[in-house]
Amino acid sequence: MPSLWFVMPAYGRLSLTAICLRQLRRTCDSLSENGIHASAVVIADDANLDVANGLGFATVPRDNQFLSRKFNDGIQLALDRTYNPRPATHVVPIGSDDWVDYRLFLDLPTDRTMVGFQHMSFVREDGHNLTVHQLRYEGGCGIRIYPRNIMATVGFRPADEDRKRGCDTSILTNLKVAGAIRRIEHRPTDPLSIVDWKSPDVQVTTYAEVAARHVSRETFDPFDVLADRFPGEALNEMQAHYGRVAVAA
Amino acid sequence: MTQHGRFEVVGSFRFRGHEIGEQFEAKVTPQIERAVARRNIVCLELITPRVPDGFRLPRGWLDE
Repeated sequence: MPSLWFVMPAYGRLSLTAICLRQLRRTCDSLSENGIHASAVVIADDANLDVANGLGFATVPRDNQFLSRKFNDGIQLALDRTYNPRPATHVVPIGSDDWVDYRLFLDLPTDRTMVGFQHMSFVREDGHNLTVHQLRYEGGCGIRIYPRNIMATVGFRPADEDRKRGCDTSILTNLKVAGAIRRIEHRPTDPLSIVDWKSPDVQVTTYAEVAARHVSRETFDPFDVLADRFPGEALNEMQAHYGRVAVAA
Repeated sequence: MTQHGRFEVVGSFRFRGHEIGEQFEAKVTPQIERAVARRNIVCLELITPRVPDGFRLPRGWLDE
């Protein structure tokens, strides 16, 4: 049976991360119901680990000095038999402020094909605007599907160990240099299938930085446009998190 | 597996985004070797990066 782990480094932002972890639990459960045994590993050194443990996810205790090292820890735990007697067949790096539609992961790549997504949505820090963007570079956003054999080429630790940002690029660059990837497949998707919930807290890339870098189309109220795509309980939680009053249907 | 080391930034200049006095782990590359040679960084020890102790697998993962 194919299996997939999401790899989520986390740091602070306890309220937002908890909402995203609960939604990730639903995503994993939906995948399992559809024949893909899914779970996640959270890499952190704070109360985010307790939330992850409570949801039945794997955890790795690691400080936040280098984000790339946390990704490496999670990927290695997912895939390396040294640590995991039942390694996953695929890994997907994901941010602690991301939601993903489980249907993106029903068709898992084989051989040395990496799957990337170049369309996604970002919610502004105040929760009032969602903008759809196209990320016109190889690999798309950092949420990619990697088969285990790709990661095995680099000892299951693909990123430079000492990066504080640019981890997605480091992973892809090192895998390409190692000859680990035969093909990169960019799958056309509805951009509402991947949502990045920006917050006023410290984050790697702000909403304004994203808007400056990438082609964008249209803006929407996130809680209107996502209503048919993600569970109501998750949206209600997130709406409360942004301090917005939920509007009764 | 490519050799890695634990390094510390010494001397007068930052290195690759790391502040003076900061320790970091990195692959031993020609860039790193040159930085060691010019005493920008020092190698504290050679290491193999690994998952730290205290990790947990998903609940029930090995029961399937």
